[in-house]
Amino acid sequence: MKTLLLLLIASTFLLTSPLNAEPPFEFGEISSSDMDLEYFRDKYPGEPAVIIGNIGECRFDYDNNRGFQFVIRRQYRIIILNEAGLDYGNFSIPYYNSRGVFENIRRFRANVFNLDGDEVNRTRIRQREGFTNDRGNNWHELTFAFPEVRVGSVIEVRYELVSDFLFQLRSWQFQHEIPVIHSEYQINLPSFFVYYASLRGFIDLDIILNKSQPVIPGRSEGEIALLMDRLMDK
Amino acid sequence: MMNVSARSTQYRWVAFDVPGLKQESHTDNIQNYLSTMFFELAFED
Repeated sequence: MKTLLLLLIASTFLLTSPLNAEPPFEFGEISSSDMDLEYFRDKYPGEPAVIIGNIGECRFDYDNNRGFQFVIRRQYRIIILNEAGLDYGNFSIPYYNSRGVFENIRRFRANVFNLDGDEVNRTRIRQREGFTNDRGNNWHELTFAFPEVRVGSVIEVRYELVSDFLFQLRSWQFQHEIPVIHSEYQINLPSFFVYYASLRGFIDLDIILNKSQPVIPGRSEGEIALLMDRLMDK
Repeated sequence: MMNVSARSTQYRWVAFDVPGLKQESHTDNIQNYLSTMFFELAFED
């Protein structure tokens, strides 16, 4: 009986803990209640916009011609709360090309959602609607000025960045100048590539998990233990 | 495309309710202070 009770408590804890946190949105799916402007304005007073979710997944692929490449799949959703946030209707993706080694962007999709009464209207944006800027020093950017962006709009973007630059794995920015509700980065790393990871800044991560050896030797396991302690204290 | 099999490790980092960091009068470049994870290739086995 005691064992059963312990199992019940443990499973409740695991099911409700942030370790099981699901992404906060499904790309392309939204309801009018997800666009409740007053809710966001009350929770984040004075903020021009709020990033609802910023999620990156990095994996390594092998191409017969180009060898190993990393692919980052990013999903991003933001809500505009006032006029100052309209600048977030402009979106850029920087990429680097140099002497036969490339980064490119593929599978770009974006939506702008607006509420008309209780009805959600969607404006679709495709990659061909963007334009390319040369930023110098081999850097370029794919830029979009999203249409139909107004106060209350929800903008979501999804794309993949494919890169030959294995020595320069893209960094992941958890913090922005506006609040972020859920920021997440995942890497599926083949055992023959070893990277050092370091977090710069002033925030603590809420979840640090790996299914094998820690990427920062001697650190991640301790941080997982710390997280578990913190959860037990709640 | 060729299939390559290798042991891999899945890493996951998540932050919830991250406050916005505002530019202040003596901040030189806000990008230097925003919490960011950096990766550096140590070696290829």
